Amino acid sequence: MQERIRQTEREINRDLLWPVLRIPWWFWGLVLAAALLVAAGGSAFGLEVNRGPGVYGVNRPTFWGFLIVNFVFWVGISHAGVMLSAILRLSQAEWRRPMVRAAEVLTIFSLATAASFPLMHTGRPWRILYWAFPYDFSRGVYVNVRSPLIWDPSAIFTYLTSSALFVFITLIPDLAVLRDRTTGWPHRIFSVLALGWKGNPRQWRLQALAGILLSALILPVFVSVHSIVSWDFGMAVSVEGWHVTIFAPYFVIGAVHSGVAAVATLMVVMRKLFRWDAYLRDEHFDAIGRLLVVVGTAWFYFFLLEFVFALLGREPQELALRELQVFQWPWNALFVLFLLTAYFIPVPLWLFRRVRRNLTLMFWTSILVNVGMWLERLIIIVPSLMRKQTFTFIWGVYKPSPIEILMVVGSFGLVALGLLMFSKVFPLIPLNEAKEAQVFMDEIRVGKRRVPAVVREE
Amino acid sequence: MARPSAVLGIFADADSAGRAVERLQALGVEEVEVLTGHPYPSGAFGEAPVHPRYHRFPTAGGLVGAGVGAALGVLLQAPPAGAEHVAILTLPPAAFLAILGGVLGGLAGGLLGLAVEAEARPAPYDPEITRGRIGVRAYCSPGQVGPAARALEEAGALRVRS
Repeated sequence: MQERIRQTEREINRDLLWPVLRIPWWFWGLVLAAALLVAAGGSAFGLEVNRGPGVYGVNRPTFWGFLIVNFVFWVGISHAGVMLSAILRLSQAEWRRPMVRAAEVLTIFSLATAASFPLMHTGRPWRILYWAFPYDFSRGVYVNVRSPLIWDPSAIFTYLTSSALFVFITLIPDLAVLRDRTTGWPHRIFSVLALGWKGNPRQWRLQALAGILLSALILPVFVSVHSIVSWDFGMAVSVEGWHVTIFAPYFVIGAVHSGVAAVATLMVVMRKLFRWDAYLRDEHFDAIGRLLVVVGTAWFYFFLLEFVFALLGREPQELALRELQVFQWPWNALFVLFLLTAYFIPVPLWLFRRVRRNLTLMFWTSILVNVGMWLERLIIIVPSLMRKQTFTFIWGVYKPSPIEILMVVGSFGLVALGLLMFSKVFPLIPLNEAKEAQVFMDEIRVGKRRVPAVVREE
Repeated sequence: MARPSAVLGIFADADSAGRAVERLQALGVEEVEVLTGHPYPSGAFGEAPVHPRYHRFPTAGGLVGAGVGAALGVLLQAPPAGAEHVAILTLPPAAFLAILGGVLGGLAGGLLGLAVEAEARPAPYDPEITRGRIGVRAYCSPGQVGPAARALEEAGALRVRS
């Protein structure tokens, strides 16, 4: 399956380090565009701090709106890193090599962006410390540790820390390459960050062990983070459409679906911008497309289960909610759009090898998935709150304000800006992975067959 | 006891590096390490395989972290001092915080293990190693440095440093 090209270490260094050592012509234009989006979102948030959370569109009974939808969306995107890096590393899938670091870095920036949204949603984020920190601050009240809203920041902080460490530890050999290729203050900084890396067998063995260890440690966090986020909704007894036990696996598999699709989008962009055709080959898009078919279909199964569970009980309030989601404007249109974009357009297309190996189609289908998954979270959160109350005369309508829309748009700029800045300082494809892959290309002849000459030790 | 010295030879390919390791071992140099820009299968150059006892650190850290997390989950459910009622302790918060604490503890232990087990020490190095060359470094007594350097040159070293 591997369609590698023979390359020397110098060629690999040159190809993968050029964005770090030189400034591409398009770089500052993209940075400016991302920065403008961030500035727009930041200005919107500044206005909210000045005027109060009344500028948001949330109101009784729909107290959670676009900002919480966006929070769940970005936590979902963050699951890409663990899926592609940790799980595929532990299963020794060779095709993961060029995409692991980009996936892990996407995890970090999307998770950091996600974590900011509940803070902004509270309206007075400077008071969040009194609410989330495990200390009573002379109020005589500790945090409610039985609430998933407290497990949330713990899980997100743990996931963010472990992902950041994962990126750093796998980055150390590449930092040594940068140390040896730079002079002046960049050389001093990379020397410190490289932690004395020399490339002896002990260091390589420790690096491999640490990668396996971190992958194994991150996996329970990977499952728990989005399970806990789902329980923000699942443990809300009073909201029909939320209080259902399927939410944990449904959210986790949905997160993997959107996260892996986001990595596919990122891979196309990386291949085009950095001219990495030799590293992000058609076979990688083929493999990620096949993974998306499996993950997407599993997600769709859980979506169907969630819907069936809701209808099976035939509770009037639950049925009223589903009637709103499926039959009433504008939710009916959004519902159809969500199903088409999240599953019925991309997944059947991905069944065809020609589509999986077509970069343009992979780019647009992966973006469609994330449009659909953002709509999925919107359809879960907002209509359920609109129909939360028993009495119909206090059913609500939610209209997102321009402030919320700008903050959502700004979040995309923030993640893009983070990725661009990272690509300017560190290589987005691990050099040692690309070089190690060359070793695995060696073959020997056994009779009339050519077989791999090198096998994995672990 | 004389402080060990180190001599480094830079080679263009794995075969000549392997020959250099053989020659150094024939000279009686006990500690030879091969520096590469990417991992090779262990023993690829004839050097002794390494077995760092790394697992102790994340295991210990994980156990400590899990204990701290579980304790935090229990203590945060405990009633305030002086309260007359007894709080009902539920398992899930303690379990979740134990898992998260175990992960963070395992990470901290893993980092400590990397620092301890790396056994870093000052020795000659050449930036060409990260450009595809292979370095063979011998730690030997000062009297062996000359013969070791000659052995590296005879094996085809592009450059020898000490």
